[in-house]
Amino acid sequence: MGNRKDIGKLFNEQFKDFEQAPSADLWDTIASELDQKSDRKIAPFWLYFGGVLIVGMLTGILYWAPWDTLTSPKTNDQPIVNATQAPIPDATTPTSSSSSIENTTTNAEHTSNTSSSNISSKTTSDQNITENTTVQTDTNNTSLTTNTAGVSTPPQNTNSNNTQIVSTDKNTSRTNNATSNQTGRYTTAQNDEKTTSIIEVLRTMKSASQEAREKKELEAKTAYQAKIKEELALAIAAQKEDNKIAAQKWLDSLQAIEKAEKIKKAALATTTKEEEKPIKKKVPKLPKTEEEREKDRKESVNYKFAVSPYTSILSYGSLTKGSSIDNRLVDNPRDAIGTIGYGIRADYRLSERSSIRFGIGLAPLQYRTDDFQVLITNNNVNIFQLSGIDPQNLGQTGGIEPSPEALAFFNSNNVVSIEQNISYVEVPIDYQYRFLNKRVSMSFNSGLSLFVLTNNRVFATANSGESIFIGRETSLKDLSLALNLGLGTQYNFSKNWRFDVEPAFKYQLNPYTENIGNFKPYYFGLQFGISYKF
Amino acid sequence: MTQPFVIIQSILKQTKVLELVQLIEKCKKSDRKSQQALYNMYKDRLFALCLKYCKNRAEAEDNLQDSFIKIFQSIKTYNGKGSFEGWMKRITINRAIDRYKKEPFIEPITDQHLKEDTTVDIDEAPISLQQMLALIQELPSRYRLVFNLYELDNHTHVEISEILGISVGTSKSNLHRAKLILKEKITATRTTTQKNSIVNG
Repeated sequence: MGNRKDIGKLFNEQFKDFEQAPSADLWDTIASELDQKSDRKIAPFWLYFGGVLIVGMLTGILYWAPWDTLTSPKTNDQPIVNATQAPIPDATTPTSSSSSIENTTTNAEHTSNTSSSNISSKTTSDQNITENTTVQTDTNNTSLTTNTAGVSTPPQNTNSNNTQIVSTDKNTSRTNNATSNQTGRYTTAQNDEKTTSIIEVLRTMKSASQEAREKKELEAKTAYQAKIKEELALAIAAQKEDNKIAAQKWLDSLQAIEKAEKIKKAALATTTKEEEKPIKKKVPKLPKTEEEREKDRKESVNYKFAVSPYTSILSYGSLTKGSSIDNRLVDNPRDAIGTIGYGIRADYRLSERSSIRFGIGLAPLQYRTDDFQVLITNNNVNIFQLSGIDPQNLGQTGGIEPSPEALAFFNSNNVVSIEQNISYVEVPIDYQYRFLNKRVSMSFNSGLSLFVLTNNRVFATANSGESIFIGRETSLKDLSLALNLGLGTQYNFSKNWRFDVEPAFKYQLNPYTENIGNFKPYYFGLQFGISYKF
Repeated sequence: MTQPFVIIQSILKQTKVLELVQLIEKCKKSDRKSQQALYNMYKDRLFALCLKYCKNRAEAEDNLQDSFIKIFQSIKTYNGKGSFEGWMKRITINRAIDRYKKEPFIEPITDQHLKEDTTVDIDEAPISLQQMLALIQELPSRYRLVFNLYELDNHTHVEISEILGISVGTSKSNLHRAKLILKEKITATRTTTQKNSIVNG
């Protein structure tokens, strides 16, 4: 026997002055990482604080800003119409102004003492101040009075003959009362000249306003006529179309009758039924009416019995953070592997909206537990000691040591994934309620499924993809029940055919004889199927 | 003759300490050249430490990178008390422990006793340092951490239990199992080496 030493001491001595150089470019990586970290430090406190402040201010502005005053005018901004303005006649109003002008003209030309006329004009738009100008014409005097700030001064009529003008001239503010006292200085001719000039002004105003009014009326009339014409054209076109369709129908029916008679004659002559076929082909198909479409829709959802083969994408999982293999694997990462299932289902219609469904299908399920650390001590592999696995890969001698293949596999792979392959034949019975029952219908489905276990195998899989069968799950029941919940969408594309898409959730009620690791299995399936309806 | 040699050695040591203190002060101010100088000074020793604690060279390099970043970020907290190298080693080991501590681990159920022999014959065919390093790296992570902490870095089981969050008993049994695995592997390596030498004549 040679000189012996404890392994710990041996390693300690050997590694006492152990040094090794890392890769040459490692410093560059560290330096760039440090640069990034220092760059990130630039915006610590003030940036966040400033950001919060700005957001806060914006929120405040948005919340408290007087949007009413900015967006809609206040009632105070509306032009104030003084009560005294109400009786002032509007110069643009055709009735009052035209008659007044007419009267004034008559007064100026023919009479001097007997007739009187009043012309008033008022403009209120966009102005808070309304000026009132009164022009007074008399046989002996002419007075021009302007009132401002909405105060209407009564015209200084000394005689019954006067002409009154209310205008919007803001800057005119003068009262020419003096002229009324200078009667003797003016001659009748002078008065006539002034009257004539005023009349001319009034005429110009009248003609301008009349032109504008006439123009507007013409435009409105033209637009109205165009609209009427357009509507009329549309109505005529629609009527023509209706007549055309009616005529076509009539023609078609005549042709059909004619052809039918011909065929009938031919059939009588030849006594063969084959000649009737071309008739069906030749009769042109008219577009379906709304009633016909409604009838089709009703027919498409009206059936007694339907058969639906389907295929589904399945994903197996647990409602809790458990493990069906061993409760020590609870923290290991686990994931479901998508699989494809298939089956056939029959659907018996109980009422307009409800059905009862039963069927049979195959649900192959896969589930993987990752990062299992393999340990081999005295040829004992710890994977075979998991409480939920019945080891099937052991050698014959003694039943303790694994087979040489398994040993070789675990010697070369110290971290593996444990893959459970479970298959059930599923017999579901569901109640279906269609809450939308049209060409596209939607339904809620619930019921129970009987699960018959057909496959139960557990594999160890290495990162390379290589795998080895290690046993079966010990506690899986051969027969179990599951609760089904589903939300179906069906497209009834013809009277007899329907396309189905149905996400379904199935929760297994009693899958284990003994639930080792608080595993509550369910599977989720997305089913796609085609139904034939009888 | 020895007296002047000791004095010179002492002076040189003092000079090195002064240089290191200056370097640390510059590193505290994030001076990139000083950081690089510090890195060059300790990289080989710390990388060796990473190699012992990690599964392979790539992970050891990752660990060294993380450790140096942590060192430069927290160098301001180093107050000069205690060995600077020891402070850096602690950071490096802690990084490796963080890396592997949460790795799923299942204790094997065996009827082995803790008294089983963990010694090897040192007169037999020697094993190279690289082979020994490979053997440590092949250990399951928990065992590797416990073995390194106890045997190579002289921590007690109480300290290990606190660092890894396990019981003292688990730490002891983990160490024992690590040694048994190493012993098994050393024997296997020696057998293979002997066979090869016979074949090669």
